[in-house]
Amino acid sequence: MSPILESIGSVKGFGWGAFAALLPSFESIATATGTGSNSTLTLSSIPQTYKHLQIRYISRDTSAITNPAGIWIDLNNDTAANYTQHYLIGNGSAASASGNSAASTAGSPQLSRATACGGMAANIFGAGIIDIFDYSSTTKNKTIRAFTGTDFNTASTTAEVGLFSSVWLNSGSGVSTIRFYFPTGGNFATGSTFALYGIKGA
Amino acid sequence: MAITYEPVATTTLSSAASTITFSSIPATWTDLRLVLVARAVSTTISVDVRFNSDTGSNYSKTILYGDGTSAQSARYTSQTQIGTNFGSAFDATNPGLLTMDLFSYAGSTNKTVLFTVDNDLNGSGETQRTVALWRNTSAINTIALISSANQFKIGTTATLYGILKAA
Repeated sequence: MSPILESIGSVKGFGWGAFAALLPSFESIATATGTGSNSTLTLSSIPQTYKHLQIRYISRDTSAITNPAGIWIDLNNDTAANYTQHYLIGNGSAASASGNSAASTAGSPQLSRATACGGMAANIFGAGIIDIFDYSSTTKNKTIRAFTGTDFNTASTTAEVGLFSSVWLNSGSGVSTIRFYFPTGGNFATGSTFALYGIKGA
Repeated sequence: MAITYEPVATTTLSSAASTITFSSIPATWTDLRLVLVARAVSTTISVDVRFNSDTGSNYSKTILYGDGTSAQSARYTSQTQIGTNFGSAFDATNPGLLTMDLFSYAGSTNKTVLFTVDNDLNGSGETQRTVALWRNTSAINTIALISSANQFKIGTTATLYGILKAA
């Protein structure tokens, strides 16, 4: 099997330049996993050598609740009001959109409202894909995008699918740490996995 | 350097077919991603998805979609397949795009799947985002894409990718 998602466009001729363009450009960086007793999951010491980051996750909150409050995220341990957000959500009954500015987390109330909780059916996890673009820039604010969802095979409108966009209002620092946690104060259930990937530029 | 995103299998139809199946999928990766670019033999088709040939009522989904007029949401519980047919279809001229991300497909939890369906039919069509659940803790080793009305047209392509996380 051949690696895909190769960099295209930097080849000036034959030789090592062409060879370099065939290197795979989507790489695993690190994975944070839930144990049932950790209230935060952190991806730290992120190298500044990629163009974009992608996080693919499945997640479940151990809290014995039936109304998930989502997953919160902050960057570089910044908990100040330096984030903005808007989102589009479908809850099985209606579509809705909202947003807020100067929030203290990336997407307060949440970057992703999609997770499963301990008060719901067992062995079901929410899932999502989060992209952080041009994360290593020291001249631009950082844009975050997420596509997330949880379905429980019930009529409950607490199950949702959503699209989220957020900006971290920090132009001077590259993203080196990403932290996830639940506003409920719950822990990440065993099986929760946040896998970080790096995407190279040409 | 770890290879983390690689093609598992590709099907390009040389004749019309009602079903495209990926079978004997190894449990090598963390996630799977399937990309379908489809046209119909005639009129329109929608696409249903089943895993491991399971025809029981073990599928559900929550959908968010825009049809050019409004944004809406709907839910289907205890289905016998994951249908992508909520007013959306691919036609004989304009290819429709379906992507499917299967998380922890070889794990021992129920399987959560994220879908995107995009089709513009020059006057109609939809863009959809869907979360689906297959209530089964077995590893997924077979994925069937089933055209519910007509057949997949010649040239329809489906590619399955594997994505591996860091240890």
